[in-house]
Amino acid sequence: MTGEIDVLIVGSGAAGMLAAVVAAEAGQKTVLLSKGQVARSGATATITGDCSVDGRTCVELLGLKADRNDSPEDFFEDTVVGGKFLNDQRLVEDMIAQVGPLVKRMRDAGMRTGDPIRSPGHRTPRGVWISGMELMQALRKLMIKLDIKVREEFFVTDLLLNDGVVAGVAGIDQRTGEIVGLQAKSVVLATGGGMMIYPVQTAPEELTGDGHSMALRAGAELIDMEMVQFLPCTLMNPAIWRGIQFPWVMGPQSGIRAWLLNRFGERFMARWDPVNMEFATRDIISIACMKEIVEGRGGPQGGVFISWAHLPPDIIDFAATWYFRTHLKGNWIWEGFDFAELVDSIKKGRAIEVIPASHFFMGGVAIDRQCASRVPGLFACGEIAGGLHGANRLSGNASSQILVQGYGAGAAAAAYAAKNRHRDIPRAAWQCAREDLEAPLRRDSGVFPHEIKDELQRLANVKVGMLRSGESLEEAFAGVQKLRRESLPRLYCRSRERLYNKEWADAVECRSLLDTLEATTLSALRRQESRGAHYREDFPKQSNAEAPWNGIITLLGEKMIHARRATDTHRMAPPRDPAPAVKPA
Amino acid sequence: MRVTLVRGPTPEGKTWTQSYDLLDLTGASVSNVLQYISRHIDGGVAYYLSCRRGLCAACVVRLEGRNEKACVVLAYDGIVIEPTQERLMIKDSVVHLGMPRESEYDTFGAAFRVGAGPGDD
Ligand SMILES: Cc1cc2nc3c(=O)[nH]c(=O)nc-3n(C[C@H](O)[C@H](O)[C@H](O)COP(=O)(O)OP(=O)(O)OC[C@H]3O[C@@H](n4cnc5c(N)ncnc54)[C@H](O)[C@@H]3O)c2cc1C
Ligand code: FES
Repeated sequence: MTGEIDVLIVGSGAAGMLAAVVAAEAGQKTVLLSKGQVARSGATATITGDCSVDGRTCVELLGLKADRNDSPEDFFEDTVVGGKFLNDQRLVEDMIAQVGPLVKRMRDAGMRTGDPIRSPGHRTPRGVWISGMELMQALRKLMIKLDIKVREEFFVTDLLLNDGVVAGVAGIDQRTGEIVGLQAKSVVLATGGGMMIYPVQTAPEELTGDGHSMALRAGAELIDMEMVQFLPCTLMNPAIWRGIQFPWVMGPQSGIRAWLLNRFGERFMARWDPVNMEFATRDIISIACMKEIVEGRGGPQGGVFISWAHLPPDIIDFAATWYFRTHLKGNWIWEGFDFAELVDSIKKGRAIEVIPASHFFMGGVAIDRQCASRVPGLFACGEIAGGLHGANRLSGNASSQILVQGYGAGAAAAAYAAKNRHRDIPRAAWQCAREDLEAPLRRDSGVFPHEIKDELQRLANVKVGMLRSGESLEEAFAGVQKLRRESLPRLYCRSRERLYNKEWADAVECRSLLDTLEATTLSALRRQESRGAHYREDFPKQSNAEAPWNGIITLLGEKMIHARRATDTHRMAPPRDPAPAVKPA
Repeated sequence: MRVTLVRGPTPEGKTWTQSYDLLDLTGASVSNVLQYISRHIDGGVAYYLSCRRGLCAACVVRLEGRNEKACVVLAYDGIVIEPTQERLMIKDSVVHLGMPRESEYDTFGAAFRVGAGPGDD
């Protein structure tokens, strides 16, 4: 198929794939573009975990073993309390109300489900066990059945507008090496998070904040960009294991009492949460680990230690039979890795050095209940959309998000396309996008993409990571500006070949990463309190003196602007500090 | 560490081999090595990398005659990295995987295009 496109979907995680299916079912000519391969890319591929559904729906609709007394109301409360009252409560309501039937639909399409587990922050078991790969296989079949056309390894770089309204997209078709502009009536962004701004990630390689950058440049708002979730205990070495959370899974995640230790052998969690210790929430453990590291109490590789030495080895072996039953293949093969040797050394009493890794973006494109951004014709769903999780996401709620919003965005983009016509792509917009893309191929010398990536990841990690202060954020902001001014205009690629040029893609990603990091830094700078995943050393407490607000980033000319917007709290009121007592004169 | 890549295709559809001598990269996966070469030595080298943990299976390459996920195999001295199927080769170890060919949208009718040759519109 060539020719006219009604709805264009960008990204092929589960959110994008489901949006494509729904838009095509609504009768719109739908095309999906993905930087990766369909059903084999995005964070969705890495889900071997949970999808949150309230207990009552688990029992009554899905026939799973769960707590019948649990209710959508309790699920709502846990999500908003977990999000520290920054969630858009309308989006939370929709997610909770709609996820059950969508899980059922995906199960009918071939995805298996397992009885729910109870994850931190949920008062009862709501984490229906699913596999992201299975979910995408089911969606892939539906896409083929509906004859939805795709372009894979197509790197979308720009939204093209006509008078402020979406007219299409531009990008690099890596499989042919061409720069292509495509016209569409509506565009759905489903590009996932921006975890690659940090040097260690649990998340896949292609999640470089492209969607954040192009949405911002198109005039959309980014919300809650300061809220980044880290997973505390991931492996550091060897390089092949970097960012893999096996120690986390062998410890707090499974409920096994591993200890976190600094170089003095102190259980440093006692200083942060003496009751829960290593079972504190992820955000607190990540912050605590990082504090040990930056204050010089870490290990030789720059991490902290996790140890099982106080436990008899039998307990570790036994874990393989219960918790890991569904996760392990054979003898300690977890995901793609054989950890038998590592487990042996754990049983002999050796500690492992671990580090927090960037895991999830709570912030993203601001959307309404129809997944519409403020740019007409532009919709967003899944992890690229912000506002649902507030300051912290509960386990399993991302899977619920991708189903509910993927469905919603597909339906809304189709309805929009049905009512609107194609708009011309202004020649100037296309030329401008194209020239920017080609610039690194035209230069004969300059800065390599990896040099910019390394420097911005370093900045992000030490200054905008788990520990932040006004000073560190100002420094990061200055650092980003310097990279923008001095390095970005000198980006260059050694190879000018266009076909599948990875270095070229790296170069284009530098812009996305810088935009994403700048938005994160600016939002973090303006939030002078600590809340959820956002921890300021200079403002270590949550401030409940005023009503909760979300940070909104927009682009004014070349400059990013931050503004506050009151959070939607129509259903559950946030805690407020008592008004300060007026001192008698 | 010596690493040899089977590269290609040439305009005639042929492949060639190219070797790289790398400093100490012990503990690196085959994917780490491909990325290192592409970023630091030879920007023309193509590779596919996504999940880095053996789940998406899109990084497959051929090693000693077997298809392996490049991100979960340790690189070693003398390794030869080949595409899984030369017939499906896009560039170097990147082959045409993913959706079936019939599902492909043909951008030929696209609003705008810049061809693979330099500067044509
Ligand atoms: C290791 C790990 C485990 C997780 N486990 C769980 C869990 O158990 N439960 C849970 O609820 N959540 C979990 N999450 C979070 C969850 O996986 C993600 O939030 C969710 O899968 C995001 O789905 P998505 O469809 O929005 O985006 P993704 O699945 O990330 O997909 C993004 C897509 O966009 C494409 N793309 C990106 N940029 C471009 C571009 N410029 N042009 C074209 N295409 C582009 C990518 O190739 C990809 O196809 C986990 C995350 C990680 C990293
Ligand atoms: S990158 Fe996903 S399996 Fe290797």
